[in-house]
Amino acid sequence: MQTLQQVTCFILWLGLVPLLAGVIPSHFIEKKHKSIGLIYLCGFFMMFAVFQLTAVPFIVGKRTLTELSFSYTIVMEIISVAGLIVAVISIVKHSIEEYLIIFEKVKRSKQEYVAWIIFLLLLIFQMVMSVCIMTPDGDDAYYVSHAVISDQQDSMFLKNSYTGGDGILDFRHVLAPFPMFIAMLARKSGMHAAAVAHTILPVALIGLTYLVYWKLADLLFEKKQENVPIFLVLISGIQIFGNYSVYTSETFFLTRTWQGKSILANLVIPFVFFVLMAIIRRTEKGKESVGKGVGGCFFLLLLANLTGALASSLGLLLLLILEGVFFLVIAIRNHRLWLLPCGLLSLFPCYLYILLYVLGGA
Amino acid sequence: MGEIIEVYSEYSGSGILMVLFFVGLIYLALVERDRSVRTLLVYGSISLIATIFQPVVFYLYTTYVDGPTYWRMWWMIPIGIGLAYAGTKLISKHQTTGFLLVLAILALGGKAVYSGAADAKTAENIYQIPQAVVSIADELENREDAVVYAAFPPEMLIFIRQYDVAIRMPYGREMLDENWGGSSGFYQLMSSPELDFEKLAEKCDYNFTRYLIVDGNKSFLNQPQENGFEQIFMYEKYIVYEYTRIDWEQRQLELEAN
Repeated sequence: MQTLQQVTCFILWLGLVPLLAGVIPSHFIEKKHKSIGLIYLCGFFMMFAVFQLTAVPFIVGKRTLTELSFSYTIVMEIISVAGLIVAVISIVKHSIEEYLIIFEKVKRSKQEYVAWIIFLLLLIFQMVMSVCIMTPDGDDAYYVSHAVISDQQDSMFLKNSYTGGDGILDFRHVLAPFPMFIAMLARKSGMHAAAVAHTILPVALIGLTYLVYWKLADLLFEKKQENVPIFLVLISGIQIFGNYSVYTSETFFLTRTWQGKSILANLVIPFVFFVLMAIIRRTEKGKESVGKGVGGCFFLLLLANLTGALASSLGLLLLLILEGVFFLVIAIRNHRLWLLPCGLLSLFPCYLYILLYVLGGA
Repeated sequence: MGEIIEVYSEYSGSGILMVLFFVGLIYLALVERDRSVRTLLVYGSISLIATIFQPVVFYLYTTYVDGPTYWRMWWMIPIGIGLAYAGTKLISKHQTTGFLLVLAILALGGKAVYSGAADAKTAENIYQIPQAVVSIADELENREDAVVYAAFPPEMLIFIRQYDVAIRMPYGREMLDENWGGSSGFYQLMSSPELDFEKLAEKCDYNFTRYLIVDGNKSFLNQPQENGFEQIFMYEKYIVYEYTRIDWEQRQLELEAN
């Protein structure tokens, strides 16, 4: 019975909810011919962004995980139902074939199929390794313990995770409360938070990361889609053999998948590159009119920045520099100076949480 | 500038993947015709690298943000994406040979994440926490109705409270952190290769620590039993002692009264 509850919970929170929640943000990008992958991806970032917006006030206000989980569930239910309504209306208005890309009717070569199979095997290999191999890390004594404390003792960041004594709200970590997301999943599923962090989440996050790379590859190889699986095989190879030092994002990806900083480096930053590429394509120099969905891209950046905040306080600064530099480059290269104020607006979460961090520290 | 290059050297480590990334960047700068891809992977990467190598950025970051973590700035560079894109362009022209060549370079020039992680080993349970930690924590919980106060050997410190937060400890993972400025005499005694139970008894008295978990393979300077420790169970090489010179029922009543 407990296993059934756990399976149902993970199907719901890591499958159905992101799929429905992604309908609205993806609607701003494309109204028709949407890929399920893009909807799912947008949904996950929506979920993370909403969690960040909900969790920080609850934690700073010293409320309980029960209250946070209850409020977050209501908000996500509203967003999911709204997504369902929008999807149903769109399907009725057009048709399911016109609304969603379910099967791409593209003739693929034998080599392309081989590359897809190799990629899938590498993906499964990484997922299986994440379940079967433990890669202990000292920082887990902070992150995972806080998730366990919140789940079992219903207080958020108020205990000393190392010894169990009383603690103080440490703003650097309070403003990036990804451990509370783990705690919430543990609470809903009834599974131990350490098992959620080390065994369940990595499988979902590895899949999600490759989904980002897949969508990015679709944009990079816009006119040569047969190259997409080759790109994915190479990215997998780089991730597996990327332990050229302990600091690389690849090392973090497969040995600390569940930690916020790894999510920043391996999920949020590649997603930002995906969105930036979408903006670059849609605002190419020489095009008379700007492509559809640019506004939606900025909304996705906003979600990515909120997710970055959820993952790592320091990550906000990296996102600020990364996007700031890129908006400058894109505005100059594509002769679209109006991109600069739009970019500055989408960076709002970065200013907000950096300001809160400074005020909290003071 | 020297310090930034030092950080870069630490980040790029032993492999040749960073060198390959720069080769790929030059290759894309020379041959890539897609204007949008050039914007993202060539001009964007160069601008970010130029930003990271700015001494003023380094100064501001290390002074006002977080001194020891400047290496994280390299996470912003699309190293994997650029490398994979350049590799794909090469492979698409010479499919099988190129494919095998690039994978061979990755395997030989890089380092497998799983072999590189020093502590990586087969998971013993769904928590991915050593089974010895899980079993000892479960056994202590079974014996104790109230909060468990226990001191653990250094190798267990990062795991215990990931599994059981009802266990309280006189010292924790902060002892293993090289940036930690404090010290704990208790931890020094527990991490010593020779265990001095006379001094450990003083620490248990002072910290009200009821259980002591020690590595049975270590040598003992004196007998645990003579210093108030009673062996209650063993798990693999670990011996769990209960400190008996405190009236724990009385102690519990005092705690409840407070």
